[in-house]
Amino acid sequence: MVDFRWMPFMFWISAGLTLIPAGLALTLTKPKDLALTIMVVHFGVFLLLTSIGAVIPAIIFLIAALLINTLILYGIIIFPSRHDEVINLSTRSILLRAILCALVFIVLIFAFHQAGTKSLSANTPTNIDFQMQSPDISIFLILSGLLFLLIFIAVSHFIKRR
Amino acid sequence: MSHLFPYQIISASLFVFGCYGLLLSRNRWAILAFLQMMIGGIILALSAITGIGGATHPDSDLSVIITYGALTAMILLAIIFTLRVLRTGTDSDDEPT
Repeated sequence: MVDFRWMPFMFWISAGLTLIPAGLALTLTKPKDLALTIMVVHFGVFLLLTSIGAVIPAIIFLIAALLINTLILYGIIIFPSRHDEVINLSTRSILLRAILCALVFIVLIFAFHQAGTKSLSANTPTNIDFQMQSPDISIFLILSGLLFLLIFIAVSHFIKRR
Repeated sequence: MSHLFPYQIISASLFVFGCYGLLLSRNRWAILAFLQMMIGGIILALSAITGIGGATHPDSDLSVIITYGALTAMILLAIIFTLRVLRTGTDSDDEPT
């Protein structure tokens, strides 16, 4: 067990624990199910923070998230809302919101990528061409996983509408 | 490509999922849950940048202070929601929040 690398394993477990329930939460209509799903998401974020090494923020985050999730769960029982369903929107407005969110995602990823490339080029000698570097395979895995999640969300919306 | 980028993809996707849920849902508790998801994404991105980016140690004062700030915002949000609900006596307003 000497060659076993714990951190990548923990990263993939926590990435799955974070992204799959987060995608699933968009398809849920009952707030109680949503709160329980988001508890799993917070546990995944806690594991990700721990895998970075930020133990204190992770513990603070987990305690605060548990408190607020308990508040949400009891709040749903004590003060039930009429709006249990998602808003009945037209396909056009759902598409517009989805496109807006996709644009926000693309802008964020582009900004992160640019910032990462700049910090890499600032920290290393100048003779290395960063355009020729092969990208990390894990990025493609995450992006393809996100694509599958989006397809899953779209299919579940379609099934719900029927 | 550094190890930072996968964490940033996850945090950005958490933020965007929360944003999309926020735009679609009308229930107050669901909105609070999606806001929590967005704040989780922000905290993850911040910790990744400060931790893996090499600017500071992940348990440094700055990251702990900003995490505290984001979590205080979450708790304040929850208190405001609770007070509003307690004030009205019911959570049945027709207008979306």
